[in-house]
Amino acid sequence: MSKGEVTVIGSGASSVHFARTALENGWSVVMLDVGRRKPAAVLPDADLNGLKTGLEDPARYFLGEDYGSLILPSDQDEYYGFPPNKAYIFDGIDDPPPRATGFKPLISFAEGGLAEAWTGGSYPFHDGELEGWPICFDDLSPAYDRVAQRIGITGEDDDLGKFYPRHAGLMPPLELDAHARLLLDRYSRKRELLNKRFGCYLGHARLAVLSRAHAGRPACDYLGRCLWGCPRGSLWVPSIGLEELRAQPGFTYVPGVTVRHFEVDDGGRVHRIVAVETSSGQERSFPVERLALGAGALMSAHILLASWLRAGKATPVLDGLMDNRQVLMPFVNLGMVASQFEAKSYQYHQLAFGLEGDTPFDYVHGLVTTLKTALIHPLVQSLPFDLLTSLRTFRDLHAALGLLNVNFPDTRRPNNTLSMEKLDDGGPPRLVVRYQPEPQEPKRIERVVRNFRRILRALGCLAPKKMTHLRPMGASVHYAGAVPMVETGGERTSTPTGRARAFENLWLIDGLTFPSLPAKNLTFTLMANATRIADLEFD
Amino acid sequence: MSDQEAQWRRECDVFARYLTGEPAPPNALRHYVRWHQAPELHAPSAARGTGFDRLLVAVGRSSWPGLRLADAYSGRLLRTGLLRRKLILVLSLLESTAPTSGLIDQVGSRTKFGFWAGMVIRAGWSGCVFVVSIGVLLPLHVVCSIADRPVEEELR
Repeated sequence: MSKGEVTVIGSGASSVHFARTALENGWSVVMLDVGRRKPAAVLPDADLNGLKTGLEDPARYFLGEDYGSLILPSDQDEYYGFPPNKAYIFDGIDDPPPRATGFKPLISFAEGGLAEAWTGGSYPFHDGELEGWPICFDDLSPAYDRVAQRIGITGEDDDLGKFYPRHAGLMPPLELDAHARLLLDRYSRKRELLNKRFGCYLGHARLAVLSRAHAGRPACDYLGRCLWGCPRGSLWVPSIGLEELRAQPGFTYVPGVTVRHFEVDDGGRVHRIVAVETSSGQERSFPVERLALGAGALMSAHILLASWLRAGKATPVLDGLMDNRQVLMPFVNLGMVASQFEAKSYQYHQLAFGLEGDTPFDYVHGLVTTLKTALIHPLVQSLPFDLLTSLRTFRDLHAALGLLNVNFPDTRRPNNTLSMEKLDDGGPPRLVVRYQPEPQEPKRIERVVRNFRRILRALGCLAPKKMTHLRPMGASVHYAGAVPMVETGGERTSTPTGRARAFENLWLIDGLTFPSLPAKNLTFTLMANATRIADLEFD
Repeated sequence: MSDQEAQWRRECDVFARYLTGEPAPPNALRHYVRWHQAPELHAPSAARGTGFDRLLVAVGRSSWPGLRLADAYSGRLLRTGLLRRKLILVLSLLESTAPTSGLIDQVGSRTKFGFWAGMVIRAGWSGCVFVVSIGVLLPLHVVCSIADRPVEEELR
């Protein structure tokens, strides 16, 4: 017998863990979603080179039907193109896209949401990072354990353990490739210098990738296809969680609907969701007993603001939008030049850096990816020679190339806002995003990048200054803030258990409620927080 | 097959041999032609270029030495030019398709010393070719730029 029904909007990382916990606690769940489906994995047993030999049209697979992954010199702004078979993740809908200033928003309408494109980094936040939150690590700890046991997380309690609080269910780390082994070996010889001089620590990344079979999913078999989507399900993505939910009694999945807004009764309770069918544009409504909004920080804010707008609130504005600034630092590991690169290895970050800041919150998180099977033409063209010389040089450098992705924390600031604007065509309103980095950001980035360049040099690597690339805000897709959880606050805040103060039966289960954004990837905490909310409010 | 299509196929093959020493695989040839035939797949300017751009492509298509000079010139002075864009398109197709993908992945130097020695030789040779390419192609570039100007002004 169900304890009641809760309607969840969105099928991303937060939503699937919230729904699973609510189901486990005896509630029934209805999930509304646009739910664009991912294409079936092609040749699931083939490694990367097997795809190139086995596919009928490999160029189409790797570059895309419209050559979307081809990066020509005139439009080069990233080091690799997005894999065509993941393009569905960012396919839009008919509604107008957000208008953004100082921010490049990415929104997903895919089954599983934005985390379908994540790289699996699973890092718990410690108390220093949760400063300013109304909860502490101990509040999240049981949920971290539960999520880790569900999805499987690999890693090791090494030097980075001082930044990563312990949780249950940690599997042995994945096998490192030769490049990563060499870096770790050099670090162990220079540990004291790096720890003392830079506050820098290197260790195994924590990844939602299986190093042994777990929950019906096989261990990673190093096919080298991570960038194109793990064909075996060893790298956990929310659509795997959604598939598990769909097999549960008490769970109803309603794909193909775009939620526009919700309506509120006189008592301040959400009683109806208004949506449109994505295919036909026909309006549909869904009665609601309890609503959990988990469409991702931007889309959840959109639904919330649109609902306020419908209810007659004058131009509502939410402030405090956050995202992790990312800086990409390509480097060459001199110890690896003239080595054959290993295609059969885990392709995303195998190692992570932790860089101490002035305060625990100022910690900077670096992810080390040893570039292997990504398409090489964007990199070859960036070498300062003719293409033939660049290619010949690149071949010898391929195994030596790495990319350090430096992530910075963010805080809520009043001038980073989300609001709505009505359009003249009478259609649905549009989300407006405004973001300004804090004034001292450039100096901070400069200092950290300079330190990382020295750290890499100490590890036998060169990071050319000119190739360091500041990614635009929005690129990390770690969106948070805007309706923070606080002990006491107004209607644009939520309670520590995710309940929106403006509406009695509305819970915000995604990053919208984060009061600050540490440098580490937030996805593990999104999942844990949604699990915690479901456990406390839907027991 | 039209003359234009035959020319694109020949161009792709010449560029593939230049980059890998092997002919372009059928999959690469097909996509090279398709990319050129479908302007909606790319910015229209990406496949057109200026008069000098087209001249460089023609020089490159004519022979290996011609392509070596044209590549050296565009690699430093016309990095977003038509020839370079076409070469990068071919590279992207070759790296996506067997058997050329294997050639692109193959390490050339066997030792670290070999790598550094090779780097010095390659950089020196590349510089020499660039100097020669300036002597041959810069005057043509200047002439073409003057000849192109009225057309560009008209378009503006």
